[in-house]
Amino acid sequence: MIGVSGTLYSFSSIYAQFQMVCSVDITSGSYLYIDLPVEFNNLNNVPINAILIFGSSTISSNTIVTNRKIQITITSTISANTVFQVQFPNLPTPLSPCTTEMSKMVVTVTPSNKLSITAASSVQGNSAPKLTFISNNLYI
Amino acid sequence: MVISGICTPASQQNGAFNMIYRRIYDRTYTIVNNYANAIFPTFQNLVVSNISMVSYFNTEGYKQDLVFTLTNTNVNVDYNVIWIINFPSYYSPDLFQVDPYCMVNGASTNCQVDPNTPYQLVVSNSPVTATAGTAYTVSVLGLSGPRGIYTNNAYSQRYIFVGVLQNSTSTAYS
Repeated sequence: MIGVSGTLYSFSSIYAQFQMVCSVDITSGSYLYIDLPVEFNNLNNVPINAILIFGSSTISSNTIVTNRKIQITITSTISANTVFQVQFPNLPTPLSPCTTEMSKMVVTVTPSNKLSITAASSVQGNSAPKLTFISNNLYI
Repeated sequence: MVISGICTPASQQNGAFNMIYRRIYDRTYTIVNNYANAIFPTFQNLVVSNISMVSYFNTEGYKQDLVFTLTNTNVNVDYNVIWIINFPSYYSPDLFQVDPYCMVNGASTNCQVDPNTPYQLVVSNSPVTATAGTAYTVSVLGLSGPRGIYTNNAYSQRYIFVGVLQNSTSTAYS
């Protein structure tokens, strides 16, 4: 995770940026899944917007959200070992104040039939900070 | 003494529980029941509904999603219906990697691993309805995928059992 902007209020939203690199090609038609830590309990299966950036390409797409897992459809092949970014302009934050270890997120890639996994991250290989969400006094 | 999760016999031949007590230190049988009041219950006939399953993310160590498509023979789906799903023992006794998450027709619903019976999932409080004879889906998301060695002839392949109870007081699957 390379960036987050805005005050980290709980029951709010943040602009989150994740940087990734995959050792195999992510072919067009694949699905990229971002499984967020357990504290992210306010996604409510509501699709959120995602921006995928790699090379000179910037692709905005909607997502499918189930529980804490965000599904992004890859519409253009990302070559192996190419650094790319996934940004969420409005990622809902946890309902209550808490600290979450973002390294516990898991990113996976599946083919279009979702029957197997093409690539997966390991928690040990992640480099993401802890985020502490605080309450907002403006909320009643 | 409560024994949970017994596989019921396939036949309707009623017998009796033969419960004996044996001391550990000398292996002597100390008490043998007299069959008088330990008769096996009568079973209702099995109602076979139409059930199929699709499995996603089939990689050991990852979160597996199972989507069952059911067409109930008798029972209308509403908030009273309870689904009991028994998994083979090559799954984790706690079933999930993090937290149980289930959906009926794509709507989130309650589900919990049975606290008394390992490998058993209880899905309840459906927010959607479906009349008997109409297909609907029950999705179980985030299962802890079994290790490949357990499913590759090291252990015999077993069925996943899905039972539909009309309500929490039902004593047999419908």
